[in-house]
Amino acid sequence: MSVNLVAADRPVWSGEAKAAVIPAESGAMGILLNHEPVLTVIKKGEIRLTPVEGGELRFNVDDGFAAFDANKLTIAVERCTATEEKALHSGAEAAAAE
Amino acid sequence: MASQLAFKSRIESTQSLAKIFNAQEMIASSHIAKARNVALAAKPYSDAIDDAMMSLVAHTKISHPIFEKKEKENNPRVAVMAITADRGMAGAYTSSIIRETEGLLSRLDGEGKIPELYVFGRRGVSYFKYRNRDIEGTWEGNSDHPGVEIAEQISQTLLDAYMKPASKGGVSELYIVFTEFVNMVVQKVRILRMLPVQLVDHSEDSDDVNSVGPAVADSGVPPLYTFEPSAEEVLDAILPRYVQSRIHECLLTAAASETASRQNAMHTATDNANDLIDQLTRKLNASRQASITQELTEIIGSADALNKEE
Repeated sequence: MSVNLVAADRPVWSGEAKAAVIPAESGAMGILLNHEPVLTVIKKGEIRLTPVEGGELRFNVDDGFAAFDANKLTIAVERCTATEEKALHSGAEAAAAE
Repeated sequence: MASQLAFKSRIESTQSLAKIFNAQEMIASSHIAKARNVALAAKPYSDAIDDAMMSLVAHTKISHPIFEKKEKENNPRVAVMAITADRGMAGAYTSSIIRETEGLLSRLDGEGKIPELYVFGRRGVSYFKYRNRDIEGTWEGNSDHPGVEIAEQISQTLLDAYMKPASKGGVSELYIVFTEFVNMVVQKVRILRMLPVQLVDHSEDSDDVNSVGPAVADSGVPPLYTFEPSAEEVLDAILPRYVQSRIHECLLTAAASETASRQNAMHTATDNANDLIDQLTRKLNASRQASITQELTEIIGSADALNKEE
């Protein structure tokens, strides 16, 4: 499924992922391929993404929502910071994009 | 004819002004690229919100205060938000916003409404303060690169005013006066009715100034979403963000317009200064030539007089 993670002032990460865990209002929600269409409010917490190329990305997010349908996951959050190694990862990606 | 010294000093001062204008112009043009990038970077977020709004609208029979609310209550108070610049040297940027705002205010007055003024940008604030106008709220600083935080503050304040019941001084509508960035040369002042949000089909009247809000897709079957925790709560969470992202968008396009009109103004100023330098240099040359001619005439005349005496 394709994942698009955007913060209020910039796009953060987009790409193909196998799985995603998002901090939904009523607790963490795991999303795999062919999940039913869902629109949920996100509270402060951590997003975990498993990209198809392996590894794991973690982002600290704050207030937002996520929409999933037709195997497309859109996560829009107010604030977002990458934690640990994907800080490196997204930095390299940003450089590649420029 | 003025003395050569006077011309020289005028040329010098004009030259240093030209340098300043030129530097300002270059600063503005470097800021434009930045402003454009910022606007582009914020686009995916507002797109995501638009999409979510669209699916919410398609799915639920929405009756949220943000959509219609107070028109029934006959509350005459409306909010008007003017987005101006913090600094001058931007040509007619702030004055055209102020002109439009004054026009809107008197129009609303004529309709029997009571406008409440909110101003963003130091120039606008000082204009209205100087005229002793009542201002409900002001924000200053960073008008050329507004961040998410300031958009958050503004939308919070305006939504609070909108959500309050009329008896407690709430408003029934919100207008925003801002400058739209059409291209580098053309910036247009626009009046946008932000609240209540009108859901309109963009394909029908996309030019309508009042048309904010996502298009209601009537073609194609929208995906059947499950709402977590419930459609109402998702709506409650998304609507304020929707308003915030619209306001952020207005601020960003206004910032780009401000920078562009500053660049244009400074470009014209540089050209004018250079023209003035040319004219003054010509006058200086003429006056130097005149004084040389006069000296020569005097020398020749006195030499003639000496010759005649001999």
